[in-house]
Order: sequence, then C-alpha cells, then structure tokens
Amino acid sequence: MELASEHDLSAILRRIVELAVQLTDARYGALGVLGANGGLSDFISTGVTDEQRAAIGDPPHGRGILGLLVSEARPLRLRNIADHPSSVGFPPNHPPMRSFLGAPVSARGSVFGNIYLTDKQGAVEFDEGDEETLVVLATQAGVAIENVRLLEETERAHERLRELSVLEDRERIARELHDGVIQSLFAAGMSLQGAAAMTDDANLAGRIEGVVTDLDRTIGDLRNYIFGLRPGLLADRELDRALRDLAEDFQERTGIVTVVEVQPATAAAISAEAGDVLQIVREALSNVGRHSGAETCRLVLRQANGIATLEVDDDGAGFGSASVEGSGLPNLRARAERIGATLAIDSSGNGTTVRLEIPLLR
Amino acid sequence: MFVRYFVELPLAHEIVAERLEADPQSWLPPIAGSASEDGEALLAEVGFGERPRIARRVVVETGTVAHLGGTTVLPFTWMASSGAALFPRLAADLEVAPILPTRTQLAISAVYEPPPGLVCRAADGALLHRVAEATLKDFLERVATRLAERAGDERPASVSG
Repeated sequence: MELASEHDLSAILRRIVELAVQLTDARYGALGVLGANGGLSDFISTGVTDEQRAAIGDPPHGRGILGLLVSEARPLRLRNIADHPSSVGFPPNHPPMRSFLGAPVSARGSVFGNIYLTDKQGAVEFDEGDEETLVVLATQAGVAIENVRLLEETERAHERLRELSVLEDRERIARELHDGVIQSLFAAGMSLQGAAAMTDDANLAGRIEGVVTDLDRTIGDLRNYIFGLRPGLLADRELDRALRDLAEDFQERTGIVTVVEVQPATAAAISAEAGDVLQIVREALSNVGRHSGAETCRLVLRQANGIATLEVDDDGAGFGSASVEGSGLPNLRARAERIGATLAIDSSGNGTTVRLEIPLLR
Repeated sequence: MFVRYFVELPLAHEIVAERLEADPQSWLPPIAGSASEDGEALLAEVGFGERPRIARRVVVETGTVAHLGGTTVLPFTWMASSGAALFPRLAADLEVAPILPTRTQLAISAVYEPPPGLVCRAADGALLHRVAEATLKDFLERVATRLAERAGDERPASVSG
C-alpha cells in the first residue's frame, strides 16, 4: 500500500469502508480517525445519502458505543445498539440503526480511530465471520493511517534538518567571508595604503587610493551581508550621499559627465531598500560605462503620487533587445521585484533610460 | 582607509564576549566620544585646524552581535555630527576571540573615510592616518579597560597591545 498524502489516505479509508460494507452485507458503514485533540480529524461514511448527512449535522463525537471501541480497543458485536448500556441514542434526523459491528482502527498498539457497520442485511445480526473480516480491514486502515503519520513526521524532520542545514550554511558562509575574504581584502587594503604613502607620484597615489576606496566599499557590502545591516547604518541620510558618491566615482572612472538630481526626502523614504537601490544604480551605471558610448548620464530620484522614481539615463547608442540578457538587466529586474518595485528599460538610438519605481505607501 | 589594532585581556573569552554583548549601545558611544575628543585634540596639535572648544558629538550605532566560529563580533558605525571631524564616518567590527582559556584577544578592524577638505597633500593624508590609528588605539584600549572592569572586578585587568 503506497501512500503519499492525506488525500491518498482518505481514498484508501473510503475503499476500506466500502469493502467492509460489501463483504458483510451491512447497510451502513463508517470510519472515524482520531485527531490530536481527541475529536475526529476525518470521518468517512457510506450508505447515508448527502441529504441525510446534511440533516444529521456534525459527525459522531465518539461518545457511547463508538467511544468504547477506542477506549477498550476491541471489537464489539451487538444485535441491537439501543440495548447496550453505553448507548447514547441517535441525533435528530439520524436513520434508525439496529445491528452493530465495530472494531478499533489500530496499528502496533496505537488506536487511531474506529470502523463500524450497522444494519446487517438478510440477518438480525453480524456473525463471527463478519467480525473477522472487519478486524482485518480495520488493521489495514490502521497501518495506512500510521504510514501517513510516519510519512508526515519524516517530512517534518527532513524540513527541520533542511532549515538547520541552511542556517549552518549561512553561518559557515558568514564565518568564511568574515575570517577569510574580509581579512584578505583588509590586508590588501592596508598594504595598498602603505604603498600609496611611499610614492611621491601624486597620480599613482590617487589611483591606489581609488582602489583602496573600492576595497572599502566591497568590505562594506560584505559586512552588510554578514551582519544583516542596512547598507551603512544611519541609512536615512546615507542613501542620498551614497548615490552622489556613486555618480561621482562613475564620472571619475569613465569620463562620462554625470548629473545627479536626488531629493533627500525621497532617499530617506526608501532607505529600507537602500542596499538594493544602490546595487541597481551601480549595475545600471556599469552598463552605461561598458555598453552605451554615452557622453552624459543623469541620475534622478524623485517622488510623486506615492511612488519614488529613480532614473538612470544616458545619451548613448542604446542597445537592441538581443543584448539585454547579457547586460545584467534580468538581475536588475529580479532585484527590483524583491523590493516590490518595477523596473522599466527604454532603449533606443537616442540613449537608454532605466527606471525604477518603488511604491512608498506600503 | 583601513585600521586594525588589537589588545589582549587576561580573561576567558566567554566573560569578555558576555560583557561585550551586554547592551553595547549604552556604553560604547561615551567611549567613542572620549576617544574622538582626544583624537580631535591630537589632530589640532599636529596642525590640522584648531581644537574645537566644544567636543563634537559622536553618533555610534551598534549592530547585532554575531558569533562566527569562535569569534564574537560587534559591528558598529561611528559618525561625527560635523563633517570636518577626524572620522566623518567609520565602520568597524570589535572582535573578541580566545587565545588561551584565560586569555582573549580584543581587536578592532575599522574602515574610515578621511575628512574631506583636510587632506590636500599625500603627506597630510599619511599624518592624518597616523592620528586616526592613534585614536582607534586609544579607543580600543578604553573598550578593553571597560570590559576588564565590568561585573565588579576589584581592579582593572591589565591590557597589552
């Protein structure tokens, strides 16, 4: 018996009840599965019409004779249900039932519920053969339920292990970045600092210091990743400045005249997304530098109607759709989606505009 | 610019780490403020402007302590309220790592931006960096003293760099 889900289990239990009814000539059959709180987590019945079921209302609560099947964990055969001292009667609208055969649904000593049949047809009561048949079917139901529960437990355990493994991986990566990569970059930075101090060539010193600054930023990014920091603590007033620094660096490196128009209040309003915004601008500027052949570039951040709009546009040659995939733009889109923003790219022979729109009212 | 410096504390790593983690936002900013004040004075002494009459306010923000292997790391930033200060912005990690069962290394790895406008010549930059190093050395030693003094120690443990 192969089980993959609760859905499969219900189908199997229904088949078992139907088989029991069929093999014992019962008019009605039902199977109740106990839930964690002692009530029924599943109740399957046959012989009762949908209309009757709706009129009866809630499934049995497991008191009376049905409760005995669970508490005493042994089969019970009755000529007339009403004669048994534990009988609590039927709810309103319940069809009359007389003869009864029930068994606990159990496996390896655990009771998972009960299965019972009523109104033996063609005889006044169920016989010993019927009982043996029902016990066999009840055992199969018990094994099926146990299998699904074991399967669920195993999946939960696997999920816990996966979560643990992800956490361990994160910690390991963070440790390796901090103790390995950052320390190496730090040492390289200090060494370059020393080299810059030793030269009389102002141009060379300036270039070395530029590399030191790049290393500094890379270390900053790694620290943000490791410690889950906002990019540069105090980001409220840092994003504005970071965007200007980025543009200034870009202009210095590429010679492309870059104009910055950033509303400080808008920068502050999207500070929670500062890391992703900076990365998007960095990538967009990098594309301008590598692909556009532009002479000027403009970086604008403003807001209107509850939306912050960030634009990086240039007066370069633009690019066809064929080169979009290789330009890192899919990554930009993915990053934009992550912060709930939309990214639009307009590229023609007159230049390219990368536009990021971030809703402010969230 | 990069600065790294370390001292050793004659205490078990667990003790130092526990003290480092105990509400750093309450005790780290005053230490940074004092070190910054002395740094500014040193800066004036070596010829970069005058010593400010009123100490500049230092804004320190501490991040969440991370445990990376055997090392306990407290990330923080240090910003001056005035851009002309020694450290307009500094991002650093205070790291506590065991050396021996009763000996712990306390280190600072810091990256700072030199004050714009103060560095006109390469020689100025080198001098400024030395002042920055001296200031962070002073800062770390103050932190070490603080960590050694905490929890009712009878006398401050000695620190060595």
